[in-house]
Amino acid sequence: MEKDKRFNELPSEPETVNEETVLEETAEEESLADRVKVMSPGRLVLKRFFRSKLSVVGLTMLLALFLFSFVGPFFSPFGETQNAGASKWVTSKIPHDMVTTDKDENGNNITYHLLEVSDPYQVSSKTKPDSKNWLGTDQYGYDILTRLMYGGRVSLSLSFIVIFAEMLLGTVIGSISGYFGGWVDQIIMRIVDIFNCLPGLPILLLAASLLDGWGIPPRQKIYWLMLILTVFGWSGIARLVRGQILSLREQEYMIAAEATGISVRHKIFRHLIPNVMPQLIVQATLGLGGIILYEATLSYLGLGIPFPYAAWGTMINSTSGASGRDILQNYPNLWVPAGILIVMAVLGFNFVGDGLRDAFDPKMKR
Amino acid sequence: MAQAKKDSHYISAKESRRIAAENRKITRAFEKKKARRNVNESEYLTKMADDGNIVEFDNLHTYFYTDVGTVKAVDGITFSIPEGSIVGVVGESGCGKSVTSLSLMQLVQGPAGQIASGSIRFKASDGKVYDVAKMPTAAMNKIRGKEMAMIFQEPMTSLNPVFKIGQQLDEVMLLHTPGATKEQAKARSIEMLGLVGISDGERIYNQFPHELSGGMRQRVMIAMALECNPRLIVADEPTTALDVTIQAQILDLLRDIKTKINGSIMLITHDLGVIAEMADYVVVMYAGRVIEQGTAKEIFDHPMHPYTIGLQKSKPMVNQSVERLYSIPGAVPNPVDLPNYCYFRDRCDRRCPACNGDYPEIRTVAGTHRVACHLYEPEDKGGAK
Amino acid sequence: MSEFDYGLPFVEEPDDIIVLKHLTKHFPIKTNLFGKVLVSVKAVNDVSIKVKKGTTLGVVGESGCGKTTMGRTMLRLYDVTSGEIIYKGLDLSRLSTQELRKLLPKEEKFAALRANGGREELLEALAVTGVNINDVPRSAMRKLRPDLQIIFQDPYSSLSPRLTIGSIISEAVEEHHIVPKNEVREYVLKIMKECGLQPYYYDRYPHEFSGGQRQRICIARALALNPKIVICDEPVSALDVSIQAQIINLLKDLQEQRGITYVFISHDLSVVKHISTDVAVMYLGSLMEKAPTDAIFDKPLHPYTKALLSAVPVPDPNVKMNRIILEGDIPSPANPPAGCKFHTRCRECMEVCKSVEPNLVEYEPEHFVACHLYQKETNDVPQTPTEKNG
Repeated sequence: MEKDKRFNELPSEPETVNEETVLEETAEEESLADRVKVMSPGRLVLKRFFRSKLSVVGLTMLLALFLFSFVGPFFSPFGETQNAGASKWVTSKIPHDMVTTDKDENGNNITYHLLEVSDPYQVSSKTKPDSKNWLGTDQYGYDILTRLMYGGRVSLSLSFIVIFAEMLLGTVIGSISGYFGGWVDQIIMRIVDIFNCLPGLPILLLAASLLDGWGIPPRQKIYWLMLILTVFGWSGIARLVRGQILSLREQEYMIAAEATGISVRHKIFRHLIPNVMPQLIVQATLGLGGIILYEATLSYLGLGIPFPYAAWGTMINSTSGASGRDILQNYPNLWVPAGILIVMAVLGFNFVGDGLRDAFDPKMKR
Repeated sequence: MAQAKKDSHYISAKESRRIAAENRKITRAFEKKKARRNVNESEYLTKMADDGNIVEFDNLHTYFYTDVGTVKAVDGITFSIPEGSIVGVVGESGCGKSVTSLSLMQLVQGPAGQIASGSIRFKASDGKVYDVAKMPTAAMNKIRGKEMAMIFQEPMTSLNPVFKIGQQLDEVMLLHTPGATKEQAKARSIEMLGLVGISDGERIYNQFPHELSGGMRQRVMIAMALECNPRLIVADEPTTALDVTIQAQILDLLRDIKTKINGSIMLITHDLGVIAEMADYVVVMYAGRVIEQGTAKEIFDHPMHPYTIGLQKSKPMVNQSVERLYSIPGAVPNPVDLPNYCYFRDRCDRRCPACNGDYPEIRTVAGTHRVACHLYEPEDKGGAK
Repeated sequence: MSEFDYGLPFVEEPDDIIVLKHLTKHFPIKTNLFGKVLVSVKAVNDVSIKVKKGTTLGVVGESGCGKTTMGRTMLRLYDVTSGEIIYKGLDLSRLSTQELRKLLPKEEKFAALRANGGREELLEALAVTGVNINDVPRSAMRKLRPDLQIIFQDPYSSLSPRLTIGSIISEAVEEHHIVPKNEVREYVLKIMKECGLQPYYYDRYPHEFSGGQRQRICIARALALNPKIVICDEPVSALDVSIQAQIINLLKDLQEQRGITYVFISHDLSVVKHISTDVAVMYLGSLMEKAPTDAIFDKPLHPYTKALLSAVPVPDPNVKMNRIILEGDIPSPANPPAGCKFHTRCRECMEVCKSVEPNLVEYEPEHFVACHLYQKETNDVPQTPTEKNG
């Protein structure tokens, strides 16, 4: 009773007090807060990213690669599967015997030994670098520099599409697993485990030869390759997302979201996913290098992008044919550049990924 | 208007680059100086101003060279710790009290954080007086942990979870006492555990940190600090993470320890209650400067600086009732690019015309009581009182 | 005795807004293969409290005493193990008639109403009986959330770092259609002003603000939903003294203007004393003492409350407190001592304390205490305190 009375008495006086103090307090805060400049969140990340020399090197490498692959072909006089003109006119001479009905002195039929000379025709051949073909041509007469550009297009766009698909799949499955927990989590995580313990390369080889067996046209093979790479790559991302979400779920702002009655959809898409994004981007960048390697490996083994389309792996594959030894020893211009580009791409993505990880990590000192 | 405000709120890329380049130059010079080896002792040996003190901070400046500008975390503080006393440093977060203690231990996080100028004189047990601000790291390592030890706020994170308590205690002893055997170290560790009120030291010696409660861990931290008979214990918020009943135990223990080892304690806390209970001398800091200092009695019975007064009024007390708490408006200023006038001016309710002038110097008002406020300046200097 | 009394130490009154009846919350930490709980943390044990509308219940206790768990269970962020959490005066109009039916107490006299009561009748009946928050179907719980809000201790982790202040506050406002969509921004700005935030903060991110301002943002977020009850879980513990005072004053002002009921959880007795009308002292998940603030601070009964009060440092070097220093640590809530939870550290421990858990009794009017020293109704002759050994 007594307490109630106290409450009833209060409102008249303190309300005025409150009005004043609030106004006064905020007026003060305004001047203090604006005295100091701070960095916007984006600039903070960028600054930390550019502080590391390695990540700048990585970024430069990647930029160069992209320009080379996507802009380069416009400046090249040659096409992907166009004879670069590094050929010579040859005639073939086919010897054969012609038996006639004429008789010689012994009464035997006369045989003429003839040498048939064909019309002159063009033959492609591998050449060393010269002023026309800066990196020479391959055994089919295609310009290597041009094919490197087209190969880069395939490798880079394939890896981007694959990583995007992996991220999409992994994020959705991972966030469902992490958010709902319980038996949903159990089932999804066991599936992830299964995908994780499948040996990647053998299965890819198997799948690739299956594609061959089913008679998939070469042009479509690249899409199948993307699909397969995605199917075997999402599990890592799902696991990462799930772990992040499990820890984010315990954050107080998630409890606050629950307490304010925000819908599940908003909780996942406005609160959880944006906070997982940094780690996802890092993981994706690091993953890009891996996919480029996979693609190159498969192409090298003849299971990826088939000839006549260019891919870096396919180009290295030229060392394995009948004339492989010759190419390996005498024509490094056929396979070394592709190898260098693969290394550059993978290194570049790793450097940038590392740089991003450090930049996003708020605990990083300076 | 809101738009203009928003833009000026963020630092530009160009500005940021310039600051970063400058900072690199400055911090590199500092780091190089600290990393030198075989430095002649005479370079950092000095004399105490008053022989009764164990530590003297003299116009100490500790700066953090950050990318948004130089943060003057400690901006010219002067005070001393008399031998055998407890000096409490009190202030709100960001006032520089922790940086002061870290400067004394030379533990300021480099390369951004550096002691820019001033000196910290420390009298070691052999009578030598070191200037910590000038000491290279190698020399500092010899006295840190041995002559002066530190107790941190978080007992949960300041012990290494993968080593047993005993190993961590022994390590301190073995590190600083050449020729000590493992047996001696163990005996010493168990003795120290007993000293901090852990009766079954033998058992605790073989346990891992996670098996202990927060209060026990803080006791272990104190035992570790005592391992080498330090002359000075720096306690940085030693009870902030603990419950009230455990806090009472630990404060009791600290007082007890001080008399047992006959040392001094520099107690850093934001809790006026803890300070009132423990400290002989009190130093009140605000935005990197000392604004008031004196004996506990002087500070609590006759606070003079409006900030100290406000701080005391804004804390609710268990033995008093007020209808509405006094609250100091606004917030602690960000210590980048501070103005030249009194840092408290904008929050002060006793502002006077003199406050628009330069930052007030700290001056003695009575006995050991010193205050930095224009209100208490002598008449001839234009003070308002 | 009213019909709602299930051996409660108090009688419910019409102006009670919160009534906790034997609230118990255990967290399983070890289960066997078949999901049977082997070991559990007994975070909250048989707590019965009532809170009057427009008042503040302070809940004090040390770490591990279950105060935070109790707060979160009251918001149904956790499900109870047993017991009831009854709220009166919640805005039930958002619920469907079907959902309202499910909320009626499972008593004989409501059977007819449940079967074929109209919406108005149901609302009327529920206004009297109150709603047990644990009967609310999960899907409907979201609709009741605006009335029950929470403010957290850590202003740093309670704001999503990737949303602007404006969207943090407006999110739930839009979700619950508190105001029409085109008025949301205006409404949020009004609330922000009320909480002492500048309008141009609307588009800024949390990391640009200090702890005090972040706490204001948290308060604005809760306030924007027009809550009836706000659980303040250590809202000022992470703040500096001068900022603490600002936030406490803000909370008090808002209570006076809007008649909000607070449950103020804190370990800081001085803050609790300042803001609360009633104080509940908890130890290891059990309620030790509950009384109006003045009664508990002037005349604490329970030995634990006495020790707790004496341990608070007073910022005055002239006051030499007659300090009771408790020995030892708080036992683990997974394995609490038998009998009275406090007997291991109690100075006045008696034999009976080691085996029998004391009941909460109303020792003086409105002053409840759970201690064998004050068990009036027991027939046993009061035993003499025995020296605690060890």
